[in-house]
Amino acid sequence: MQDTLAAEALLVERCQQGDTAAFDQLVEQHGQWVYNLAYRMTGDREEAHDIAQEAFVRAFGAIKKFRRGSSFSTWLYRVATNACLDEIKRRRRRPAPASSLVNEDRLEPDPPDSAPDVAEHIESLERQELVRRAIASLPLHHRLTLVLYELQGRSYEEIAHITKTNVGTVKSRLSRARLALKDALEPHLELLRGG
Amino acid sequence: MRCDNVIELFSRYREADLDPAARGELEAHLAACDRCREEFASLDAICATLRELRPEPAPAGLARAVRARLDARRERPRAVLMRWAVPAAAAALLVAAAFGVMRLTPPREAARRAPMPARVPVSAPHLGREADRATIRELESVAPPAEQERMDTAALDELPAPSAVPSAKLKVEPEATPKREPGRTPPARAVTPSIERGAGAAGPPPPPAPLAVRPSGVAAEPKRKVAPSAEAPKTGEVGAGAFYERAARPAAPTEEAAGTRAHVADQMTLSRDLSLLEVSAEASETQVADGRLTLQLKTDRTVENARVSLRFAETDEGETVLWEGTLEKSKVNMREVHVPRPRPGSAGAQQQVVVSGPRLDSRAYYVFAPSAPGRAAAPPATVGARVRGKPENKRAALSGTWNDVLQAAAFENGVYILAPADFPVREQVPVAAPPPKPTLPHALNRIGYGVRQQKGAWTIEPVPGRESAPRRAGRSRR
Repeated sequence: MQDTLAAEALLVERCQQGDTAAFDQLVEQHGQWVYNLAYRMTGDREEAHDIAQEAFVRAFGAIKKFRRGSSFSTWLYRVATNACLDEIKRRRRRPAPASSLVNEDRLEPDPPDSAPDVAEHIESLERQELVRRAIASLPLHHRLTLVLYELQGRSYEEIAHITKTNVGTVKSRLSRARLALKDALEPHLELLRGG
Repeated sequence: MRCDNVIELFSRYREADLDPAARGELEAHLAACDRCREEFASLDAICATLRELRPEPAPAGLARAVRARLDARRERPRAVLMRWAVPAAAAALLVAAAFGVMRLTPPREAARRAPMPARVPVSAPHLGREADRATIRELESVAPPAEQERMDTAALDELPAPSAVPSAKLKVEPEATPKREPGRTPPARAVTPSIERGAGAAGPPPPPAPLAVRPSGVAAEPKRKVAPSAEAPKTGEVGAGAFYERAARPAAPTEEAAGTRAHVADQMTLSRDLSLLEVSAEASETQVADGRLTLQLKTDRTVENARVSLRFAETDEGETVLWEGTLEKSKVNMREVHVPRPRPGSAGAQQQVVVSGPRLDSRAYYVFAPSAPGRAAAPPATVGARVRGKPENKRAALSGTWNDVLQAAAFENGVYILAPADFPVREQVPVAAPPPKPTLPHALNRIGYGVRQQKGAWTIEPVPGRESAPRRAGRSRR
């Protein structure tokens, strides 16, 4: 763990000196969750791809401001979160039609080899799709808190730091996000419980 | 514990964030309340589904795309600069074109000493409709009433010839300077001064061709030459010129000011003692305060290549100083034109002036300012004429008498000539007989305008239904 952090610190330092190759490595390391954060926030892969790029571009531009000793991933979360929020707000004027929230290809992936039952796998995909759409319908900050906590596994403290709030606010938002999610999924609760 | 509170506590219960007492109370409620238990089960199922969500694999090209954007960003500063340079320059040009500030020099002492004249607001509703919507009118009078009846054009022919205008060429047919013979008035003669644009003039935009009003057949008068100041270069080329033109002041300062209204096209500020000046102009806002006249010319659209010509006169020690300002695009050209006053009763006072010009039909605005010195009920000093029809009609419609013009210089101490910058006087023809009196109301009526006196002020306004009617003599109100 210490080695990983030291290696990351070295990469960051190289990036701060303008080494784009080092930044490529950072993108490789953190691209997955940055993209996922954007995807869960937008519910759209293409938008998520754009936002992830934007987040990394912003990060590279601001990486000289990154202070050693703090967590790079938390800092990058903050940058990525801001990129997400900015992009979502920017695109609010042209909200995507409801149909676009349905990820058609998401419903037709090849079942994993470990899937014991195809029907169960399909049900799981349906539940995920329902939840994805329900998440996308949440208020922005509730959505962000829920994604960071439930899907990204960030702690209350980290989320408070990322979103520039306090832990109490994070807890409150998370609670309300869950309740709102339950309301959104109310018609499909049976399917969810079946899972 | 109420059911609402139980639901609210789900997250804290799930996160083990409740103290033992609250937790015990909650669990007791859940055991007793089916509904809350159902709610908790649903929330649990949702959270389980959330955990079930698999992370999406990042696009394979993410790192490559990021690198491409970073590479493109390095080329960006210049592109950004170029992207903004043109709009910024355009905006600056627009601002510069929209607002120009024209300043004149401080007043002359004589003008300051001049008695306060009656203010004569003039209204000419047809103005402001033309292409540049930048027509203005103003009136001022500064000459002492005692001199009003004593007009002469004698000195006109004896004026020194200003040097060449940098960008406008003034051509005046040379003629012999009439010798003064006391008691004898030379016969009227035709003189045709014309003003042409200098071709291929380089440098700043050409200043407007001055309104070359030149009487002929005038009686000689002791030479009253007003030499230009040493620092004021001559800009006119006047043979036996109709008027003495000298360049104005050093380059008029141009300022840019923020506009208050989007449709304000131009703003001219004339810095001189204009306390005697009354300005009235349709589609414009005027303000005379602290010796400064501010004209805000409004248009209902953006005016490009706007050209505004402003001319007004003041009488100063034997000569009429015709101030002439031109706002062309964003640049201001100012000239000072001196028109010596004619002697009273001279033949020049009866000289008919016929003005015509290529753009007379649409934009020409010629102001006659006849007067009846000493008469309180004198007609107003200004008339605006918009001429339509054939050239001959234009000529006829704009015919006036030199007497009118010159007397106008005396009437209420001012002559006011407003015309587009390219509004030339092409010819002047003598008249065999003195024009009928009053000439102005007739001329007005022919072009569909009437004169109204209201509260001591004269206004010229179109007669309803007459503007397009055949021109014929009509009734005038005096």
